[in-house]
Amino acid sequence: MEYFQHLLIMVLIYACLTVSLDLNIGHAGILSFGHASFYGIGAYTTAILTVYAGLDWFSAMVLAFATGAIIAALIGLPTLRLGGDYFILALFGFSLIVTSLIINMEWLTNGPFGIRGVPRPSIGPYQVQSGYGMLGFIAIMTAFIFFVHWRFASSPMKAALHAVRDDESVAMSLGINVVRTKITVFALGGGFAALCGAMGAFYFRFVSADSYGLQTIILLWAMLFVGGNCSLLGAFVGPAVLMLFPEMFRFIGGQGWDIGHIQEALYGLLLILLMMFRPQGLVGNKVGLRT
Amino acid sequence: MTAVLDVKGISKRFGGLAAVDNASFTVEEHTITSLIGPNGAGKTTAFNIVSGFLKPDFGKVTFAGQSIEHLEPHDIYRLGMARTFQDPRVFQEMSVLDNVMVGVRQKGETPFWAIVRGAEVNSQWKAARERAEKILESVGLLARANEAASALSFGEQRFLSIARALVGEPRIVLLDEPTVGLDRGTFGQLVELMKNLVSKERKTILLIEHNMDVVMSISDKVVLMMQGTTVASGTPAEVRSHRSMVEAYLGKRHVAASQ
Amino acid sequence: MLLLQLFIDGMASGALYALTAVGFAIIYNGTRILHMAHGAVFTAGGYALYIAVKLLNLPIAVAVVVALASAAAFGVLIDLLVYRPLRARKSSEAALFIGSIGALTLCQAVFALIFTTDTLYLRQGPLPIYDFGEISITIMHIIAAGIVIVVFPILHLFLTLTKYGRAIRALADNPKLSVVRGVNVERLYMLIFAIGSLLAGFAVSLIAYDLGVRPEMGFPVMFVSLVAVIVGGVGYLPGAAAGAFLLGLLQNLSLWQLSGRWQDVVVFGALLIFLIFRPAGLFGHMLSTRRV
Ligand SMILES: Nc1ncnc2c1ncn2[C@@H]1O[C@H](COP(=O)(O)OP(=O)(O)O)[C@@H](O)[C@H]1O
Ligand SMILES: [Mg+2]
Repeated sequence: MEYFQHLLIMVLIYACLTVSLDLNIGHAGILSFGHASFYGIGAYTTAILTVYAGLDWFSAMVLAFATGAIIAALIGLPTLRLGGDYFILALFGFSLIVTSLIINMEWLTNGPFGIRGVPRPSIGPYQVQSGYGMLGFIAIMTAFIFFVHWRFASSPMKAALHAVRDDESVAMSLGINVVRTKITVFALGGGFAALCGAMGAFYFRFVSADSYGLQTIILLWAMLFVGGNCSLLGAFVGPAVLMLFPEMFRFIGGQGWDIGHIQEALYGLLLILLMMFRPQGLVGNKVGLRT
Repeated sequence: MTAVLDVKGISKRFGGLAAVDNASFTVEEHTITSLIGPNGAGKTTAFNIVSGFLKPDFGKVTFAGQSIEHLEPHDIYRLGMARTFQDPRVFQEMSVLDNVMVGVRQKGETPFWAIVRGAEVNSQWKAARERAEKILESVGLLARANEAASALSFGEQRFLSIARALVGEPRIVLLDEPTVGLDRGTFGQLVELMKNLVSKERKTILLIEHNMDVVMSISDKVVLMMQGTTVASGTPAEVRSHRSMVEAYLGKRHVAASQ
Repeated sequence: MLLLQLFIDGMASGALYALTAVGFAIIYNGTRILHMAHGAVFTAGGYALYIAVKLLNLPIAVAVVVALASAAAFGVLIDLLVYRPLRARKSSEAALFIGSIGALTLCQAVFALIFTTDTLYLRQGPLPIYDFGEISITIMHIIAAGIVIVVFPILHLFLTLTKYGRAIRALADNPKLSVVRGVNVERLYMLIFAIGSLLAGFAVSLIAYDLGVRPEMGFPVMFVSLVAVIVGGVGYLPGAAAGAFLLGLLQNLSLWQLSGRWQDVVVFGALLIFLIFRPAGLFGHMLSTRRV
């Protein structure tokens, strides 16, 4: 039961990450191959502010969002005007730098050891406990994040984003400030990823640099493309499939084989097959996926 | 008549090539002005300069009394100038209606107001939709409002791109070869539409057009461009009477067509 | 003296990066695929060398030929099994990139399942070192230099003198062609992947022999090579090589002032600076960014 709770919480956190990545990739065509860094930045901001600075959880969470958004805006400002491949590389280079800085700036991040003892959130006298309390907290956060993204996708903002994604010149000819739109939406993606980092920090009560690298980046892309672009449902389906599917192997039990590698092999194979046979994902719309 | 658009001495080089070279013309309000000239004369480049997509190396562009040559395309649109491109460039995967609604700038497209909404945001959105529907009706595409734009024929996509440029209620529209690739029926429809825009909607049109019949019949003013320079401008009759010049630059075929 | 030593080490790693980078650049210029799976091709060459040396007990010269052939074949196989079906579906560049990421992930995981994540060593004991005063040069330095001096001129001759080589260059100028100089592009792609992967095979043979083989060894090398291609300027092979040497030097010379753990920051900082201030690279012609 506890394990099931853990899986559910993980699916929810990843669903939130996926929906924030979808805002960038699916809706705005910004191929953010560094999304995991903002997740990491949010987690570390939360841990540093609560553990070292003694800030309360809510302020730390708000500041984590702001930090993720500001850093995304700063890195997006010079890089978002680059063409597709260049932007992918720039963002991945950025994420390698972030990982390296987290490991090397020991005075701030405690280096490779990570930061322990992130407090649980509390509301008034009530402290969120592990188990159902935590599940409830994560579920409420998820509901909030999905509500916001649903509002984005059901407002005139969607048309403006899709216009920028599909043809920047036409978008500007229609009065859309393309540069500002892209930076704004990239900052929002970074902010929400950082918020997910805060959720993860509250849940695990521990942050460490190795959870925000290439593997996580690929996992997030896989989740998005398994579920499908521009789809709130897809943002649930992708993480659910990728988190729960490998669990079957635990019961089948590959003898002596490392379950993690079987998982990775499956992700890789799934990505290839999806691109061949169902590039729009399992429940996604037939849009997006362009450079 | 006052000139709503005044282009003075603009030039633009691409490497060694002077695509536009000291071109000047004016466009008077509530008229149709046609920019003509052979392929490669620099007409599209001039459009790109006027609409802010290219910064001129020299020259001034004044729109409604304001100098705009340093402004970005989106700012110029907000001042009341819209343009189309040589290709329709509709958003293939969006619905026909959504394509048009992209042209409406409104409060609800900023993230904060997208979340919060409120009466003003909602009424703006509703108004945008009604205006888009009205314009689709005027170009004969209302019945197909909910189809994907990719389902439209080339000619219909051209009309859609014009509707998209009109929905923001611009004072002036720049149309780049809108009749190219249209069949006879839709061709006439488009000419009617342009005439109506000026006579009924009180718009101003700057048109790049190759078909001399159209140019001569609907233009209030014709501007002839050659190798990047504007070499003649006046009423259709006046430019036509520059016969030797037209013959020299455009070739006999165009002269024949213009008679 | 330390600086000179670091310079020599930098040139040696630059030579290895140059082989991988030029391989990557040949593939990228011709196909415009951001071929992340180049890292897996690299690793496959390493394991092939391991099998040839340790399991089949082949003499080292033969083993290297096996490794080179395996790398080339592996690269072609990825093109045939992953990219070609995607091209046939007219997939977007983003879809090809994701397919490439999928192939990289799949291969790395399969290598780990077969060979474990441990480093497998091909030799024991120290390599011959030649000391010149305070400077020391290993046999690997010399071989790396030798390979570069032999391989790049041959590649140059191939690309400029032969029919297929010229077709590859023509394709790089216009990647949208479907038939180049009478050669079908799909067949040309096979050749491009074979050559690009072969070059990576040279680099990995040296690295694997020197430092052993691990499932994820290819990725960092591939990524630095990719950075080298950008720094050198996309579309110009000598630029990729120059970029590779520059990064090799940068990585090693940075050790003069900074500890090794800052290498990533230095290298990828250089990438960001280049992308932001000079996206055309050192020698690249500005890919004209037409807005209209
Ligand atoms: N972005 C550009 N870069 C380089 N050359 C261009 C560019 N745009 C147009 N040109 C060149 O400028 C000249 C004028 O082109 P254009 O304005 O499209 O002519 P027109 O619309 O009158 O046919 C042509 O020779 C064209 O090749
Ligand atoms: Mg033109």
